[in-house]
Formats: sequence, C-alpha cells, structure tokens
Amino acid sequence: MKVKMMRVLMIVCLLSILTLFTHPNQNKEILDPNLNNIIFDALPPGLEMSRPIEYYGTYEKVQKNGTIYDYINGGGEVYIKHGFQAVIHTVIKDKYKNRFTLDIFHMGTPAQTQAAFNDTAICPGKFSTILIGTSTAKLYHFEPDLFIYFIKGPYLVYLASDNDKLREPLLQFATQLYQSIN
Amino acid sequence: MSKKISRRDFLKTGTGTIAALGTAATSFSLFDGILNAQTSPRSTVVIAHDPQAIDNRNQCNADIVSRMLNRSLMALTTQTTPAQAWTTLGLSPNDVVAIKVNCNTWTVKLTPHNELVNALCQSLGLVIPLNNIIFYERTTSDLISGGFTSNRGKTGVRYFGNDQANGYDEKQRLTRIVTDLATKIINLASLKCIEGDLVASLFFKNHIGTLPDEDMPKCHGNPDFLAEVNSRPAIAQKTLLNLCDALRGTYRRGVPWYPAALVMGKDPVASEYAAFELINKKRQQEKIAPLEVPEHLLLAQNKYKLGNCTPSRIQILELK
Repeated sequence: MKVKMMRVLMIVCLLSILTLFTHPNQNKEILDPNLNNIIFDALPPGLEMSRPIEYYGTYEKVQKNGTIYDYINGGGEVYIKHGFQAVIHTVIKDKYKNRFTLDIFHMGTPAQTQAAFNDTAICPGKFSTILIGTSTAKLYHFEPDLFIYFIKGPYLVYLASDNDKLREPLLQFATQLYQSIN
Repeated sequence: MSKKISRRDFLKTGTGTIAALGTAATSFSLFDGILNAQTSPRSTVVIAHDPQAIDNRNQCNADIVSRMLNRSLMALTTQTTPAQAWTTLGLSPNDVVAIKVNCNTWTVKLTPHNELVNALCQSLGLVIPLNNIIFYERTTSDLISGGFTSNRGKTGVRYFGNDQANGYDEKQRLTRIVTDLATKIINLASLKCIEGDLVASLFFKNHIGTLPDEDMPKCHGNPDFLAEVNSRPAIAQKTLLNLCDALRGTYRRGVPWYPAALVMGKDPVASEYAAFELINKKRQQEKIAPLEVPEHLLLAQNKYKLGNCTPSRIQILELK
C-alpha cells in the first residue's frame, strides 16, 4: 500500500515538473479563475461556446495559449503600452452559426484599463454610447459587424458579432457579463 | 518602433543624396538601393474598382469579382485571356501554387472573400489542375476559423496549415509548403490597417505566417526582419503574384469600409505601396493623418532590392 502511494506521489511530482518545463513562464493567476464560469453563466439562451477558452499573456508571463502576439499579432503592441497582463478569448455560436467573439483583457489596474478604453487605437472614434449596467459602453456598428467595449475594474471587455441583427443577445450578454465580473 | 519617414522626406533625401554624390555613391548599400530604384524599370500595379462587387453587408457578387480578377490579370500582363496572363506571369501546367492567406479575424473579419478565392481557383484552373492549388495559413484551425474547409486529399483545391506540412525548412526557416511542396506562390493579402509599429498588415506581414511560430515575434519593432523574410529565396523567387482583397478593408485599426477593389502586381513592394495609398486616400477623406511609408518597404527597396516604393517608379493602372 505504502509503495503504491509513493508511486502515485512520484508520478504527481513528475507531472508537476513536466508542466513547469512545458510552460516556463505560465501564470494563470493574473486572471480571475472564476471568469470561465462567469462566461458560461452569462451566455444568453441559444448560445454556446464553439471552442475552449484560450489564454494569452505577455512575454514575461506566457499563458496557456501563448502571448498576445500569438492572438492578435502586431495589434497587441497598443495593449502592452497600457499595461496589458493577460486576455481570455473565446468564440460563441448560435444554431445558425452566427459568431460572437469575446475577449476579456486584464490591463493591470483600473486606471490603465480606463486609459486603454480612452485610446482610439483600441476603441476607435466612431461609436455610440450605451449603458451596460452602470457603465458607459462604446457600441460600434460597421455593417454587418457590431461590437461593444466596456470596462470594469482591471478588465477591458470586447464583445463582437459579425451579424448586427443579433444586437439584442449581444447587449444582453454584455450586461450579464458586466454584472458578473468582479 | 517604426522609423517615421514620409514619402516626401524619402524622395527629398534620396534625390538630394544622389544629386550631391553622383557616381561616388557606389558601395554603401542605402545609396546602392536608391540608385537601383531610380534606374530599375517601372513596376506595374493594377487597381480594379467596381462598386457593384460588394454591398454594405459584406456580400460579394461572384460574377463581378471574377471579372475584376481576370481583367486585372490581363491588364497587368497585357494579354488577352486569363490563361495567357498566368503563363506570362510564369505559371506552367505542372506548377504547384501555394497561396498564403491571412485568417487572423481579430476585430473586423477580413479573411479573403469566398467569391475571390473561388474566382482565383477557377482562373488558375485554366492552366493547372485544381489539386495543384494549396491555400495555407499558420495552422489548419486558422483556415477553418477563416471559413475554409480543410482538404489534404488528392482531388480538389487543398487547404491546410503549416502544422500539417512536415515542419519547416531548416535553412530558410520557412514552412515546407513554400520550400518543398510549391513551385510558385501567390501572396493573397487583405487590406488591413493596424497602425502601431507595423502600420498595416499587407503582403510583407502576410508571410509572417509562413515562419515557424518561434520566429514570428521577431517581426515586432524589426522592419529589417520583415523585409528580409520576404527576400528569402523560396518567397522572392517563387512568387508570381501579389493580390490584395480590397473588397473590404480597414483604414484605421478596427474600422472597416468597402473600397470594392482588388490590388495586384508582380512587385511586392510596389503592390504594398499602392495598397497603402488606397488606405491613405480613405484616411484623407476621413481627415485622418496619412500612414507614413513604413520602414520595411524602404528596406525592401533599398537593401533587399525586392521592388519599388518610389512613386515615380510605379505605374498604377486603374480599372473601373
């Protein structure tokens, strides 16, 4: 029995070491571990995740799927400038294969998040303002795309649909996310 | 960080330097490049416009797109049929053509339109079997995200990523799709303005997806690297066409419009310059500062001699 337990313990230790070597700088702690559940819970009826959530970090703190450059290439520079720490990305689909893209950027501090939100290189100029919870969000409509940026605490949230006819579920999803993110 | 050199500054400096130094400037590579650009033949770029090609819901008219493509090919090569045009560009019946697309759909979707992809295949099919056409991206899943269907079979057009192509050539540090499988390359870029250090994601940036993953970040803040990648033999020698899907594009980061255009040329530098100008025209209309000529284009012209980005050395043929 003792030998068996020792073996199990050794395997666990070896696996932990292996994980460390696979992702030497990985640090998931930056992002709220509950974000996963928050997204699931906020999904309006009829929408589902089309693939697992992806995690991207910085060169210093690489996340599970790499760095922000692996996700948005050169577009990542401007986020780094504002203190970017990590982002989670997922794509959500409905039964008609309409796509929603969700990115939640952790920008380090609320002040840095606000600065990113104010930067037209991230949130371009041509928007209308809407209220998401108690926060003013920026809504963009470039036919047929529709997307929203809002902030809460250290998080900058980007939610987009490539079909502007889905305005209602998009807003519903954004509101639910705003209320759930702490 | 991009070195800001405007077209005007570049011309002023280049011409002034040449006038002052005359024939003495024979060994320094920058001067070599400027002289070379001044004496090399003009590069032709075709820009085809048709407002009926796409509507404001991003829906294309397949017939019009196909006509735009074939007319552009014929104009570029001064031939009277698309098949003759391809042959003039260097395509032979046994060629295998790798087509690099950009499926990074972050913010606004700018993956090449299906109608253009189909028209391109149909046109190439006049000379080569469809199975000799390979659309590739960094990964097969990137292609699927971009709306393509994976196919590695022995019939029909093939679609797969570098991750399913026996790795990378060790010497050139490029996917074996371009070094081993393909005999010709088409660079099919999207009209994407990203601002920041890379300014836009066009033909040069498109080949970052031809590199091994670990080399990709080297392009950030390193315009020389971006130009050098495009000078590697497999890319520089095999590329028969640079084609930009400008049916929809972005004129600033994340802000799209519908230029309803195609941009094509044999010279990647001139083609990228012409695509920049298209973006700048829109920026001018929107009263936004124009994009500066990015340093990687100047290096591509002057150091790597991949083509022309000096306006006087570019002939733009506009088809309406």
